[in-house]
Amino acid sequence: MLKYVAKRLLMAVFILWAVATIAFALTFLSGDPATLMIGDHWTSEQIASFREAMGYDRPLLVQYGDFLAGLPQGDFGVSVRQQIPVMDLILQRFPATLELTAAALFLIVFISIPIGVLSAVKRNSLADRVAMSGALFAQSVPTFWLGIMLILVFGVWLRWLPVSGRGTFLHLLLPAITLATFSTARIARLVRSSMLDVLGQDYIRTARAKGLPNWRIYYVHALRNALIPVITLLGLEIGGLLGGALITETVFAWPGIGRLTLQAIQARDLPLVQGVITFGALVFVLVNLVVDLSYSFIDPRIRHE
Amino acid sequence: MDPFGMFSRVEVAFGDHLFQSLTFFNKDMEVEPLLATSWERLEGDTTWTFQLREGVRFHNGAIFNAETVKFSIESYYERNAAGRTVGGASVAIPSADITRVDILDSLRVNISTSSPKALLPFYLSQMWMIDPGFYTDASDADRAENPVGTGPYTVSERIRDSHVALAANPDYWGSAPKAARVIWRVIPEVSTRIAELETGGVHLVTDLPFDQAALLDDTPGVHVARISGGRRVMIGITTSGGPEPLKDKRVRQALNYAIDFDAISEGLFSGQVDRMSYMFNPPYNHPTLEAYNYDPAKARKLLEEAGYPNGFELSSLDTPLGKWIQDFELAQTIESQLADVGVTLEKGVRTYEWGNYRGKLLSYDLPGLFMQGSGGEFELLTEAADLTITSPSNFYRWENDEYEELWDELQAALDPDRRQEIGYRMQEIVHEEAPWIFLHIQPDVYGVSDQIDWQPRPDEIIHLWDVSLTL
Repeated sequence: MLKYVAKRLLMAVFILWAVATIAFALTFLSGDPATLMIGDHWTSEQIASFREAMGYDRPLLVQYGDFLAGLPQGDFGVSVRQQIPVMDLILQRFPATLELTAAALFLIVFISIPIGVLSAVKRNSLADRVAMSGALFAQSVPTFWLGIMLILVFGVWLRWLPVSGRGTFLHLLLPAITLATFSTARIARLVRSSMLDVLGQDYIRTARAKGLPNWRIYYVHALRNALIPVITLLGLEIGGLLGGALITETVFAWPGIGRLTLQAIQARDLPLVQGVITFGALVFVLVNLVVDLSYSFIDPRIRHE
Repeated sequence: MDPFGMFSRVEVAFGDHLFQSLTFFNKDMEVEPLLATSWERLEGDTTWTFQLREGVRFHNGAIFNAETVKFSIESYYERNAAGRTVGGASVAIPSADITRVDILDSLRVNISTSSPKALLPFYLSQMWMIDPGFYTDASDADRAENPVGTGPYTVSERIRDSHVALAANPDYWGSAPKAARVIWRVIPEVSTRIAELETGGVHLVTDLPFDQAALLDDTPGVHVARISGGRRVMIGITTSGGPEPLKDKRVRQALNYAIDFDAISEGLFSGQVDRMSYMFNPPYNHPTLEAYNYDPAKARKLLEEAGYPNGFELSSLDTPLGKWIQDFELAQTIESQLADVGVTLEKGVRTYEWGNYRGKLLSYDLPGLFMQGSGGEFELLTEAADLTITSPSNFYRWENDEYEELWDELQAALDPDRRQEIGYRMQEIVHEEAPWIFLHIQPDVYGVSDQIDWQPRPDEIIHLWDVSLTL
């Protein structure tokens, strides 16, 4: 087990190095960083001294070396626009993203799993068809459009919920629903197909033959076995959500990592862009490691050797 | 909220609620007293004496005096020399070129410049006064989190990238602001901004796109405020060192007559934008110049006179993507309109990411025609300088003797009427010589609740201390 974790962590380091290097290279491909970040009316002296102060006049390899050396300490440099260490900015925004992710995750798990199980058990019934068409619809709706529609209906017409911003529990509802919709649909469909698969297995027939009640067969014997692929997908979703929900956070003016990312790109704040990309990759890798380790709790047959 | 870290118009406008300068650039684009009550130019014209306002205190209780002025101005120049950010003063600092600040007594200072600067009071309106006691040793984070100015408001709450709440400063030296509390919110998505405005969540929203503004016009309880802003959009023409035909001003005029701007405005801007008639921002905008009209017959005739009866071919029209409203669509429309009078593009419209495009501009790596924007400043010298032959912003490599002579005179001219006259004449020359295909001035569109009495300014600055709310 420990050996497995160590191996995975080593791999994570490699992935992070690769992501950071790509982020570093990409930001330099979009033009000279100094001319990108300065104002329209700067004099050439101002541009030159800015380039020097930011260290952009040094050889690219030296800049890359410094960039890599800072990474283990979480040092991504200082945001050019805000003059604040990039890591501080990320940590300031992370709670908002965490809050939104937690709320969305709650909705995803408690809606998608019951629906998926129901659809599988009542296969081809009206309930199954309604649920699966609903899931298809939810998966096809663009997040952007859904967010604006929810605002229009619940914010502008009914005036039940606040339109945007972060604050009370009510502020959380619309963005969480928007964010959860796509994943809920996706996972409900996966739960259904995974359950169908498991329900055809011999041990389910055995359980039935033993005269176990249905709920016990479905929720104890079948669901637990059907959950492995679901957890894998859920892990990917959480990892993605924690990296910041660009569109949802933008539509609802939610001050999280997604907004920070967009802001960094729009302001051409290179250290910040590099920081949020690398941070997103780190979170993604860690979440998936935790998910992989959790397999053995769900299915004791899986051992990480 | 670092006074040296707020660059953009909206950041500077926000900062004006917390920080103040010696002078104030008001809604009529004129300079008036603020922390300085009066000023006079001494003999030699390079030194000015400023009389400071008495009884002004910073938010932390520190007293504003001559020491403050010296410290603040020197901080700006030291940072600029070190290549560090100077916020909204990045143009004012090299333009004013202040060489020293001398304290005469606690409420009088002498400010000296390298050469006579008629606009010194204007430049000083861009440099906020800061408390030496707080800012001398403040870290970057301190500066960002704890603004200490003399303004009518103080910060009462701040959630980064969400909102900042301002509360009226109880110890403010001037008359108290009308609204006791003002909240600035960041709402990036335009539909969300409009929804907030409609539901009374906010009272003023910025940056409305034309099509959405048209819808909002019919919504009860809110109205749309439009104003011609300070940012011009045009097609730059390489007038020397480039394609032969473009060296002839008749050809350049012909290109202007070939553009059907009404069709462009209708197609791309919901008919809400007019063609540019003046080239310098208010208050120096030429009042009577007429924009080029659409006259393809005249365009063909001018081309014939210049020796191109069948038109000619250029390599391309280059444009960045997404830098100006509808820039790519604009470039494509212009390509087809030019083709109608026989001016064709071998490689058509070529697009670039803004960073790469900016690099091309700065190194003059440009084809005969290229999309370009200018403006954003409301000060004649900076604007007029852009078209002098020695300016790095003269991407058109355009040179005109009379313009250069006027420029020489303008730099030393102190009489405001003469400056105005020079500004007008310069615009007449640019209009006639046509180093640009004149397009439009981007309007600023705001959504405003009927509950507030607020008028937009052409320079995108939003000041809220004299705005009141009726319920």
